[in-house]
Amino acid sequence: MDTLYLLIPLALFLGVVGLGLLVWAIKGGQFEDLEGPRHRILFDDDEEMIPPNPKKKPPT
Amino acid sequence: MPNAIPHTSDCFHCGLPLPKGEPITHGGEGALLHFCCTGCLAAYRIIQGAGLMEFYRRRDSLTGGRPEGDEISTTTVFDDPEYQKRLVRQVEGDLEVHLILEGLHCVACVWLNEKILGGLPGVVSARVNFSTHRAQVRWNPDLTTLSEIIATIARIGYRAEPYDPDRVEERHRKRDRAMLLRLGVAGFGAGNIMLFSFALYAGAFGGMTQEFRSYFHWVSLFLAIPAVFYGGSIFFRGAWNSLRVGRLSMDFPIALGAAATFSYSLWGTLTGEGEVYFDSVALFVFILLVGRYLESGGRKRAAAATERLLDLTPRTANVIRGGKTLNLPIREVVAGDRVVVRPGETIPVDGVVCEGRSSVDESMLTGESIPVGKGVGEGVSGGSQNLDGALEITATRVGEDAALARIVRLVEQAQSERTPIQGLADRVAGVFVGAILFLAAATLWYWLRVDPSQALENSVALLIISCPCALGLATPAAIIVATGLAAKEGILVRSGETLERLTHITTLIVDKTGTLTRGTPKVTRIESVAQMSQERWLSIAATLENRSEHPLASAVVGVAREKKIPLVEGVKDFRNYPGLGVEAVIDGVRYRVGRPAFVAEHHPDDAASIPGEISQPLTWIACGDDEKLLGFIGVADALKEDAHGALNRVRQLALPCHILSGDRNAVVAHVAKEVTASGWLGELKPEGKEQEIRRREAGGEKTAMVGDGVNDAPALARAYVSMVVQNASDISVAAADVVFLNRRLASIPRILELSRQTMGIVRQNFAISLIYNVIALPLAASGQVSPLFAAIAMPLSSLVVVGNALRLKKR
Repeated sequence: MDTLYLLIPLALFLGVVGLGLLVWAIKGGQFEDLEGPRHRILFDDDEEMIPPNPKKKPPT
Repeated sequence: MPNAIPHTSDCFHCGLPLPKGEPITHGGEGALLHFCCTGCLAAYRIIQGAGLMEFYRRRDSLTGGRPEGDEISTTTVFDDPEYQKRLVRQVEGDLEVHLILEGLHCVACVWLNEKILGGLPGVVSARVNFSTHRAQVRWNPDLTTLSEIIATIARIGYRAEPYDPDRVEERHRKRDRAMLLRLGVAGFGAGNIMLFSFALYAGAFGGMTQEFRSYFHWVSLFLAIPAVFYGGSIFFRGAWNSLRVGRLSMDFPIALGAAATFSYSLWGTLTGEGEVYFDSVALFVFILLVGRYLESGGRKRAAAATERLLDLTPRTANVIRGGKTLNLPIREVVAGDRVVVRPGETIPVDGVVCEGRSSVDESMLTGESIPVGKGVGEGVSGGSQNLDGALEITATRVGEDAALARIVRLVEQAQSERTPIQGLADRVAGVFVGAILFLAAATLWYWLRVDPSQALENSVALLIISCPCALGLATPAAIIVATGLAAKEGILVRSGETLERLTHITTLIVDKTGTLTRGTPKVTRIESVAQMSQERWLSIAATLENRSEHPLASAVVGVAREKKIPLVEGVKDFRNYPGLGVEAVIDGVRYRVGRPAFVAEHHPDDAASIPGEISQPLTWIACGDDEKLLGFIGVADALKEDAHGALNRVRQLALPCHILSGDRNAVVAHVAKEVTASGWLGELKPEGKEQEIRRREAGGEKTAMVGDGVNDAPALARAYVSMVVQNASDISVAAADVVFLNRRLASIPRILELSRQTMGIVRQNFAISLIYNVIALPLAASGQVSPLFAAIAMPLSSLVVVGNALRLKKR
């Protein structure tokens, strides 16, 4: 049972980390535009990251 | 990309049809693209140059913004430090501004704006909020300017204006964030404490060493402190504020209950004896916060109609100054400016059309969905939508004086004003809280003698379950919904008290001309009785009537214009006899135009020759000189289309409806018969109407007078409730309790019904809150209710009251 003295503070610490993330999210205004982000994910902003001609096999 | 090329007869950029003639083209990627104007081509080049052709593929409609192009030179007023003082903030050496973006249709626009702005040298970050159409832009002042940023947005076809939050927005956001934070902290605390209380409950049955019990209590205490004191801070602050001003507020019992439970549990933890209720108090705070959160959401939804009105005014206007069209922020526009309004745009200010012709959608002001045609000389109101033609208007009223601003002010005033019934509720709530505290003390005292272990729990439950909020919300919730709803339909109610007074009405009194009838009478017959040529005396009559503002006068002037009869020169000694007619001297002869009896005053025998009535009773306007009558003009004024239906519905509400009119008895009798009025009085002067209402009021009746606000002023002022049928642009005249901006007679029964429904809801709300408290308080005092259950029941009762008020919207 003595392990509870370690585990409970540990669990609470994890909880506090979660709470901290929530506070961070609220302060960052993530709950203010609930409409835009779900479209934003579809923006193809990663074109420059895609290697050129990925389908072509590299010359051997 | 070429797969996205639209129909070639439309502009590639904005999707509007191409103008006739040589099209503006540009060699695109493998195809020739067509543009409707150089502005669109420029926008295309910018987008293409930035490598953002993606935009044309991802937008989901072609109704893109049509750029202003070279037409508008954006002013550098935006860079004036004085102007920027209130709008721009310094952030880490950069400047930051909030912009209102107009023309955002879909997320493609958001993407495009963010990309274009982000690519502008000097712009540190640009974020567009799709929900609120606002952009937050941060830039380096050494590299670019605010006007350059705004011009860039304009060049790609959107419109931006610095958003002046007046700190309101900022405050709202801070409040919402603080609310969410409190909810999060309280929820976190409550949830975790519950885990430990389950363990504690299990331990209570299965046996648990004192060591772990105490350990769990200490952990719960650690979790409860932020949950109760940070999460519940609004209740403690509210209670403290109410103590300071010496009034008992609704927060007081809540704060007292929470503090008492917490202190008791703290004592239990420190001494290791007695019960510990950290779980209850944390959950109590959490649930109350959820209740508050939902309630504020409900109120926001109820007030949404007012907010939508506020959102209607555009933030910028295209003003012609010094031969150039400038896109100015709305505050910079002054009365007398010429403002260009393109088709599809919202009219930015109140004004008079000085060029162009178009139809205008005034539905946001009047609730009337049919567009109204507007030509030169006609007034338009800011906030209405210009539909199909370009207009140039001269601004007459701007800012706070504009019709829309005044309407919003009226509605807000009505929503915030307290009705007599509300004053009562406030007093009762104060007494109520005092009674609760007394009852709680009595409960504590009783249980301490009977069963001390239950004493605190029961008195705390009583403190928590009592709900003066429902009592306090009963009236305002219903009034806010009702006035918002009415405003949306084009009915302005001056105050919440008006709604209450409307339910006491016993008699409805209606003016005829301009109210029941269209008020634009038409000449249907002309009878000459003297030797003078018809043309000559009509010309004299029209000349005199041209100076009168009476609705019948305009019919005479109209018929002269129609017959192309010129007006006479040299009018001397013009006099206006309100309700009778006008007189003036022309070429040494004194002429009179007006009621036959008035015109024939000096030769009464002549009056007998008034032509007989034909199928429809006409109002006769006579024209005569000092010796004889010259002729008669028969004028008819048709009933408004919805007059029958409206008065029928009023009758169904069991309200007698009387017609008062200045018109001839025969005409009034005819109209009264047609709409089956309960009674009528004709040939009344404005004072006569006022006397009639005074007589009725003295007889114990409560009258509602409906008029058109010009000649009925004394009667309207005398009546218990005054209602005015009016143009949106004329509400300056409205000292009335109710203004029908939509000019529809159906609004009369509508507002009567709405007021009855609203007061019905208010009474229901009072009943709900009283019944709730009458049941809940004894239960809590007798120990049947746990503090936790009380914490759930209490916010529920407020929600029921707000929900009941929202029911008004559904009907």
